[in-house]
Amino acid sequence: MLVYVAKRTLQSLVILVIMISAVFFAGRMIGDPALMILGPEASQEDRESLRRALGLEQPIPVQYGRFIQGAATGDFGDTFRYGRRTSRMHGPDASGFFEETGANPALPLVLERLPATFLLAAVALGFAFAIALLLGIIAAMRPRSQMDRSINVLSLGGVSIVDFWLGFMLIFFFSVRLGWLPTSGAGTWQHVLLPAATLAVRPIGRLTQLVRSSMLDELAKPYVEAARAKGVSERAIVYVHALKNSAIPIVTMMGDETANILTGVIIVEVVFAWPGIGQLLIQALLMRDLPLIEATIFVLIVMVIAVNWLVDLSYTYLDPKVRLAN
Amino acid sequence: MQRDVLGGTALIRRPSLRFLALCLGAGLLLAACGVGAETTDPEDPDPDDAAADAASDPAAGDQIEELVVAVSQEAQAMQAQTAYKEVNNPGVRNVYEPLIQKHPETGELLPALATEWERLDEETLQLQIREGVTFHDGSPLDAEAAAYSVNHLWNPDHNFAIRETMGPQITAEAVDEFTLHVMTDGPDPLLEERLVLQAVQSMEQLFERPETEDTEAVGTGPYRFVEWQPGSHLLLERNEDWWGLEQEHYGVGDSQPPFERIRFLYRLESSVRGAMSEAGEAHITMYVTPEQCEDADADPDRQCITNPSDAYIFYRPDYQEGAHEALMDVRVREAIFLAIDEDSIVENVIVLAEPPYGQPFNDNWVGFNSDIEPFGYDPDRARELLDEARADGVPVDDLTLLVTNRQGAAPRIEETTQAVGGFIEAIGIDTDVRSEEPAVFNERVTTKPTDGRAFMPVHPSQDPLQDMATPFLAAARSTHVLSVYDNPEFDEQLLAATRLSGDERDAALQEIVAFNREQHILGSVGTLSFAWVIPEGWDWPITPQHRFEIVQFTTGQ
Repeated sequence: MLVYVAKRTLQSLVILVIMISAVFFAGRMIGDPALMILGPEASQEDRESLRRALGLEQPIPVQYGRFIQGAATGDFGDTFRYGRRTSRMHGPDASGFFEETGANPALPLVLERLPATFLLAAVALGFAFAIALLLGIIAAMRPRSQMDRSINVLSLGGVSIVDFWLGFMLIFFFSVRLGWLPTSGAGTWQHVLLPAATLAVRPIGRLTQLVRSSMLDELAKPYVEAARAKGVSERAIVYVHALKNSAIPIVTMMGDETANILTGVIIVEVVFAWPGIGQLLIQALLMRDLPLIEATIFVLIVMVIAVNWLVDLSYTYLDPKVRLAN
Repeated sequence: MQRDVLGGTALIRRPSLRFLALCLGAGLLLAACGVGAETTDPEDPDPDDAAADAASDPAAGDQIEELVVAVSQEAQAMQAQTAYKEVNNPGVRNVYEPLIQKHPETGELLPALATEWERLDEETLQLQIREGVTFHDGSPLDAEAAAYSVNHLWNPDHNFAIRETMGPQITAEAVDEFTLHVMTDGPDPLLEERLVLQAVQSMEQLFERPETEDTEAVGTGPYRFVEWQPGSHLLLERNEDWWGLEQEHYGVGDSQPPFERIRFLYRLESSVRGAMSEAGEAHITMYVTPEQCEDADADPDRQCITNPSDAYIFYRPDYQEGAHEALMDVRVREAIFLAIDEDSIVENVIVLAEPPYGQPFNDNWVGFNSDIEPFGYDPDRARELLDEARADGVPVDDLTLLVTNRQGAAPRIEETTQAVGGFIEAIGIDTDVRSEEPAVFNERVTTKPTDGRAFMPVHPSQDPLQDMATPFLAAARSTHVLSVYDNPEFDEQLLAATRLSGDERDAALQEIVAFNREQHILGSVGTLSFAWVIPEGWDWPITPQHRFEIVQFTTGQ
């Protein structure tokens, strides 16, 4: 089992390095960062000065080495826009850019916003898991019934829906028309409901279908008939035996959906003004704050890779074959 | 046979489930048909909970304790230098005050933290600092504190963004306890205007708590800073020691801070701001769409107010050595200008805008020339001009004009650019219309034309000083990175105009405007207007900078 864990960990690290390298090169391929940051009105002198301050005049391999070294220690540089760094982007003496007190490093800013994103993702996952499990089991226990067909249509609708549109519709219906929930922001348990529901709808759709098909497969197996013949209760058959045996694909998809939710929060947080890292990323993109963009995407990549790693590890518990093979 | 897998006992009984579903659906339908409800407990102190206050009807004169304002942009820092442009830090001008203020309706310069001022020479302005004023941290405002604040904000080593509005370098020194000299290292007729933009901050904070400059605003204004939560809100509370209490200011609005607190909620999405306004979660909503404006006007409890801003959308075809030969011919440029129906674009595309007057900006700018005619829309005349140019061998048919905008640069900028391109295409000039990523657009717009380039950006610009010199200095002076016009005589004329003040300046700039009209260098689609939703019965004379200062409101509170 240790070998299995070590292998998965190493694979995750390799993927992490590849992904953040892609972030580095993408940031330099889309144009001159100094021009993007300063805007078209900046003089050539200002642009050269900022390039020197950012180390952009160095060869790409040198920049890359510094970037990887920084990423390994959590140092992506200082945000250009939040705090005092707003100022020092113009003029001939931008070389003192990073030496001033009151610097605002990008990564801690991102980590500050992480709890809000985790809360939102956790609630959305909770909704998704609970509702999908319920609907999937109901559909599996009444195959080809009207209930099954209705659930199937609903789940397809969930998969197809566009999340930002759904968000606006939920705001319109539950906040503006009904006045039951706040439109946006954070602070109370009511604030998390609409954004979490928006995030949960698509996973509910996909998970419901997977739970249904996995359960149908399990309920058709001979051991289920044998259990019934032995007098085991239906609740035990469904919830203890069949559900556990269909857990692997469900857990795999849960991991997949967790990753989707973590990246899906970007749009939802903007719609609902939820103060998480998604909103921060959009602000950083609008402000062309390269260090903040890199730091935020790095954190998102780490979260997605971590989720997949945990899913892989969970197989050793759920599937004895994996445990025994390793 | 369909097996009942629970041996006769269903997990959920089907009839109950159907009945429940029916009841739920009916309930939702009834509720959605207009039965509203307050969302939260009036006693709930949570940051985004404004329903308690919003539920009271301001139009009926109910007292609002905490005013909630939904704003379109988030502050990046609480530094005083952010206060020069409202979108940098919405609402912070209620905390910081300038030395000189501007009347929101007439534009007249008025005393604020300075009670009087006079020019000693063309590079020195003497001001008398108002006595008895203290900063929110208890430190006194005097000439030394004011001088420190001026020097701090305009310091070239700090390079704050406010320096983009500066002419010659600005410095200051205290002459005595309440007499301040502000100096420039060259004649600056707009110095007083620049001081209107500059907020005054606490010297004690900068000395003793410099690490708080980014995160706490310490000024002298009618509201003091309470907290700033990035990504969420800015909270202010009334300053009971404000020097301006029980005094009238400008003869506009209540002149007093009527609310105990003001909370600015950051809401990037205009749809969400509109929803907050409609749901009663925000008393005031910043920058709404034309559709939301209509909805507000149809609501008996709300109203929509609009005003032109200091932002405009310009277009300027390449016109410099290296540009396409056809664009060097004034007839072709005139044809392009005549082809564009700005009135139609303003009315049907941008909506919240004012059409131009044959010059880039409207009549509250210094240098506005009331004698010149609008460029006008005359496609027939445009085609005639092109035919004349063709007959003289100008390669009009060889011209493909690249018309581009920067994505997201202004509301409906993509649609505006498409309209501009379509109008030009209709007179027989080939166009290539694109909406470009910032990196691509910025690179192109800052590159001088070569190899017969034919490029015309459609892009917004802004000048809080509202002086015609600024856009021409950027778009037409040959040394500027954005300019594609190279005329040394024009450069000299323009620079000479910038050294003048008062009526002389106005007259000189009007000549520049007339020259532009004649040569078709810089065109404008229109001046952008912005809309706010405020409670019915309130009044607010919005300044062109759309600066939110609550004492200028008439609220009846």
